[in-house]
Amino acid sequence: MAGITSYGAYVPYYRLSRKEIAKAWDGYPGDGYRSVANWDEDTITMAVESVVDCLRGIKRNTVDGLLFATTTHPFWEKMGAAVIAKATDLRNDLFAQDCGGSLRAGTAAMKLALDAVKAGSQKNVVVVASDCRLAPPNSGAESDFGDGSAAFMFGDKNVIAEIEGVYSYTEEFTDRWRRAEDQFVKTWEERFVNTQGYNRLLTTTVDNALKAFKLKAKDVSNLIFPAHAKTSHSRCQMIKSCGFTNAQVQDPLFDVMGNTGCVFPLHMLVSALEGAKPGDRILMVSYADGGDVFDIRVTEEIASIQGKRRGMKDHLATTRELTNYGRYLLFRGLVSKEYESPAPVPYASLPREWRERNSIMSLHGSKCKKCGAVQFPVERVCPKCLSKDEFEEVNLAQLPAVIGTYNLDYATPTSDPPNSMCQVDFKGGGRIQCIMADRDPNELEVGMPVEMTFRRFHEEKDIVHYYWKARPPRMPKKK
Amino acid sequence: MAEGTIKDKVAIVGMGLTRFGELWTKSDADVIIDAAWEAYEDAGIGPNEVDAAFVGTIFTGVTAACLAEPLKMDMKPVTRVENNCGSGSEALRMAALSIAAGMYDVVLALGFEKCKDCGFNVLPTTQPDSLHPVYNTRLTGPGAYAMAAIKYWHKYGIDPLEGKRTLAKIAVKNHHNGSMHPKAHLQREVSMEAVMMSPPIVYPLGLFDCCPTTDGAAAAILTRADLAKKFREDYVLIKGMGVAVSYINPWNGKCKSDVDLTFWTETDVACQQVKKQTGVKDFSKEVQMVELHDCFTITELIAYESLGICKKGEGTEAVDDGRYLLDGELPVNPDGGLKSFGHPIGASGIRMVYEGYKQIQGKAEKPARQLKNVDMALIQCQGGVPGTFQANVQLLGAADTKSKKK
Repeated sequence: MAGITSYGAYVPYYRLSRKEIAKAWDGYPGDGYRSVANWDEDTITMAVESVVDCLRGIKRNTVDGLLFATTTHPFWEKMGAAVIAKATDLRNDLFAQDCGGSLRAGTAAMKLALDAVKAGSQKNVVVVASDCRLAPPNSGAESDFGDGSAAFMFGDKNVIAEIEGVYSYTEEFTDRWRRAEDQFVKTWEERFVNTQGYNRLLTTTVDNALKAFKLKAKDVSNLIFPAHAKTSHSRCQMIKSCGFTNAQVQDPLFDVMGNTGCVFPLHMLVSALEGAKPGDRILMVSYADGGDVFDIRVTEEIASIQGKRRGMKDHLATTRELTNYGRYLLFRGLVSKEYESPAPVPYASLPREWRERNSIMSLHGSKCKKCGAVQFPVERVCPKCLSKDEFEEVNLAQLPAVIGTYNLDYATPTSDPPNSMCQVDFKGGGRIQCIMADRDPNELEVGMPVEMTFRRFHEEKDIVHYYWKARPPRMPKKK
Repeated sequence: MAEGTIKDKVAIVGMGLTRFGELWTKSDADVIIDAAWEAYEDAGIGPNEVDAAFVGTIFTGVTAACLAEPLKMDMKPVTRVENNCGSGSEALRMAALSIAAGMYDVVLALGFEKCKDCGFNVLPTTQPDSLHPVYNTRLTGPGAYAMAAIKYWHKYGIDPLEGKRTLAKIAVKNHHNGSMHPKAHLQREVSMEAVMMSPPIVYPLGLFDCCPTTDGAAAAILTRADLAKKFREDYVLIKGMGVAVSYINPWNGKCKSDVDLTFWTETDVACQQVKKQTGVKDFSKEVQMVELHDCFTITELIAYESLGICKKGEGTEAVDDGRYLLDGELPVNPDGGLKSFGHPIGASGIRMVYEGYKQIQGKAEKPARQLKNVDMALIQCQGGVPGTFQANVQLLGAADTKSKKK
């Protein structure tokens, strides 16, 4: 039976306390934190993180489909999935597409992937959802939103969670929206939105789904239920009126992350799978103009993946607090960076970038077939034995690496100062000099392990350039 | 492979140096004219007695016209050379080689840069690959050398605070030397406390570990050694000239895996070339002063070891001993170095030679600066960052060393 064969997730390194947000606006201080994507992250780069996590230990060339779901696509026109596929070294004979426009984009992409596998048109389809929604400054949503991504692979072999049923209910309802030209999410007042939208539509959707799946509420081990805010009275009402108890409800992670848009139910599903036992039944519900409901049954295979993904646990255990709200505004580009001196920026040549795409996008280096020397980027002449055009490409992005040396640059403008540069020595040879991301400047030292992370490097002439940076691995330190 | 020698074939018979600094009121042409005319006058020649000219600049001027135009050198063989921070050193080397080849009798070598007009407080990037869309890693000069400092401390087990103190001593020394030079950009002493407390630029380098961004020009008139006496008695001979270039470009994220950030191999290689040309065995015993490239204090520390004037890992001890102070056993950067003069890129290599030239002649600008009995001066000018260095090493000798040493 077709179903989920692997999972992965990503929550950005930085988080902002709701107290800090309240301080900026003299507002009522809420509890907990929301996740905040770094200034050099967007939904494409965050998606790469989750796909890498999802595909740990899996041969990349077995993936023949990639669906990228987001409501905050960096481009109106340009395929995000193609960028993600290149950064994660997926093969070129790949079915790829982006899904968006609705907070159901994540679950919708999952259904499309499942159906493709069931139909036999694809064998292994990765679905990755990623969102980084902007709430109006000084709105409740600003505290409630979070950034992040999650990925699932669908296939029909080694299934860790079978999808026993999918039910969808669609009825147009305007509660939250963004027009094409809007920067911020807009919303109607709460009473109408909750009573006539959320409560009514979700009750109908879940009731119908349970009937369709021939299930009773008590059969469900984990209920994944979306919510707009942490303290949502209507959510509690809903859970009760659908016949569920609080013990069945999956933690919506508002204390540590916030509502991650179209990724939200997927994040909760990763959380649920991390703690699931074989036989557990998970009901996953997404909400927007109705909802998608998944009936998921965990199999014995779950043990082969559990603990082998960073998922939600490791990412939520390795975070750093943004010291103030101003940094958040800077990260999201909501305040000007005009203080920056007019230093020259690299010339944007798309032909040049295209020629070197394997090095730039996939972080390939070259390994000399004669003497084995590894160098980055891919170069034709070996620096050691001078043999020409005798090399094979190697992917450096996934290799263990350590810091050779580093600096902390207080003079170079960056939204996350100081600009930390380091030399990275890869296991098996090869060295790269690059900027560091998501690091505590006080913790850097020669010899410390780092890994590579795909980032939005800079923009020049309206062209977005993606490239790699180094960061300490997002894994909790062993005690 | 032919391995020739330049030893005693070419003499410097005149030099000029502008005041270095933030020369807001002076144009590129102004500093070029000022340096050139001072050199003409020093050599006792008129502007039309120059047969050929080489100009070193990295980003201020393009084409030879940047020199020919202000100096009105119409229809003469003028060439612009560029080799990173050694662009001035290379102009001098090309001038010397053209004379040694018998092509010209009197050649002008001039280096200049106007760094302050570009609108930001660091040097613009002009590396050949700087136009790359992403490999340009926002690496700055201080950023690259800061990484060397971290690695140096790591390699020799030096506590960061102690390491900073050693670097501060170098800054204090160079500021002291520069405080006495009327042409230096920064003519003032600094205290250890001021250096240690200076704001971070790129950790571990603070403001006083970095040379300033500066405008200036320097010029030299070269001629055949056998013609030198016609110009002056106290001409200065070129004894040896070495240069080594490495190619991997960390400005663009590229790194050779075996580049050692704690030793300037290119400088060492250039030194070996000079030793071969001159027969000099040990610089620390045979030269009386060193001008070396101290764009940052760590650069100077590692240069001691790379020039072989102290052993690998011995730099800290040498600094603590005061070996390289103005009155130490081997004064290093008696004019205050880049720390005091700043670094108008194209000018620096010739500015260093200017100090060797003046000290050998016994004509240091102030009596307190004059070193005793300088017979040979070692000059090292290095550009780029570890992995993509150019290193020029030049040995200058007094006119009478020719007869004495032969």
